[in-house]
Amino acid sequence: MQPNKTKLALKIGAVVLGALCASNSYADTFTAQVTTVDDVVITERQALAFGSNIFTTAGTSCVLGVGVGGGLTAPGSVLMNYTDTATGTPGDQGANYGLLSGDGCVVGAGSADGVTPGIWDVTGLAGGAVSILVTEIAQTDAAITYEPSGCVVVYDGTTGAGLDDCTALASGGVVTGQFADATGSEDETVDPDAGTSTEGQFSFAVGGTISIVSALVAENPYDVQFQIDITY
Amino acid sequence: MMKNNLKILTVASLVSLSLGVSATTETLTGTFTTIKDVSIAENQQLLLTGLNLATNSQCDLEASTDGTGTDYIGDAALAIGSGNANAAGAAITTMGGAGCLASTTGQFGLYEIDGAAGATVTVTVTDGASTDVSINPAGCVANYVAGVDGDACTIVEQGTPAIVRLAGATDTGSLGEGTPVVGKSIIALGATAIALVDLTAETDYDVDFTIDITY
Repeated sequence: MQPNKTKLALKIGAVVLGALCASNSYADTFTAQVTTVDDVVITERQALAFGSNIFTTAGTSCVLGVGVGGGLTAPGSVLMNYTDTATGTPGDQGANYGLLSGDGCVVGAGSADGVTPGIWDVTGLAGGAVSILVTEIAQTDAAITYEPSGCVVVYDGTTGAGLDDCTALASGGVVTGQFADATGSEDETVDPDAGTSTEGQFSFAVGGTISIVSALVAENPYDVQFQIDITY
Repeated sequence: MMKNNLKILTVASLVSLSLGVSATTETLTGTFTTIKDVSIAENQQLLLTGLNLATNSQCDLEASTDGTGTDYIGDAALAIGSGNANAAGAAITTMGGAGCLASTTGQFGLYEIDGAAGATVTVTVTDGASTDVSINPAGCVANYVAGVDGDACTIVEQGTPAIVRLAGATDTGSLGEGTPVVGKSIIALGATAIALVDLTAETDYDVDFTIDITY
């Protein structure tokens, strides 16, 4: 029995020593939660189309007029779903919006001639800030180049004397904007132009310039493409 | 100390995520179609007859743009729907002028433009001359107003280009006087011919002139 007592004492000592060590440092696992942002979804509302109005002659170019709010080629606040408190009627649609010009196409051709600016609605995190970048890319048919240009709605996040607007969208130029905030908290209430925002959405409109590098084939369809990056 | 360290690491991680998210990159596509080439064809040759032989003799075949004039070729020949059913005038083949045998019969030149439906074109006429004879063509071009009726003939001659719309899909004439053909227009030309030298009797002289059509 005596030897056994000795063993018990030693075991107790080891347990006490172990407990003393545990009180000097403590480790546990904690969990942090990271929620990803809403998906960004781009939906085409109106197709980008120059119609059957483009000439075949090399060295010519054609512009589909889409420009900033208040300008001659502005799409207007109703179409682009924003309000604007600036003096006058800068939310109006410009007289030359959606019309073709240049030596490479039928000047003045518009919607009756199959010409429609491209309009896309983008949905994401309500009130979330975003960077929007359009970029000219190589076309499938090297006989043409296409430089996108237009405007993108930038909301100011208030109903006060802010300035929601359709801001210039040009190839290579980053625009900082935001998805419209909660319904009712975005649209201007002081001298607003017509137009209504949708929570978690903004829109952009694109016309742009087609340049004919080498002679095209008459009565032939072509695609024009550009890249858009939307980053939170 | 461990807890503090943990918080710092968590914040750093979130910041990194926020800056690094690339929400979306897409390639968006638009379309266009090249326009139909515009062309012109002669439906009827311009003929001037009865020119006298002496230098500076002159013959006229007048073409009117007035829908009611005696020199008007008529809505039917122009394939337009004016809404007035203007018939051909009585003098569309009548030659005149100082140095012209009036009893002879001339013929308007008729030229058909073929292009894109409803497109607007500019028609330019340039006078012509050979070593023997000069001609100054003048007349009009069918101009179509979209929809029913309202079409008319627009004057054209050297120095006065005509800007006209080619017939579109909706163009018609309520009276059935002329039938618009989609993508087309008709040019009707008379001319004045002048002998630049003493001419030879009973001889045909060909003189070239130019019609330019551009979108």
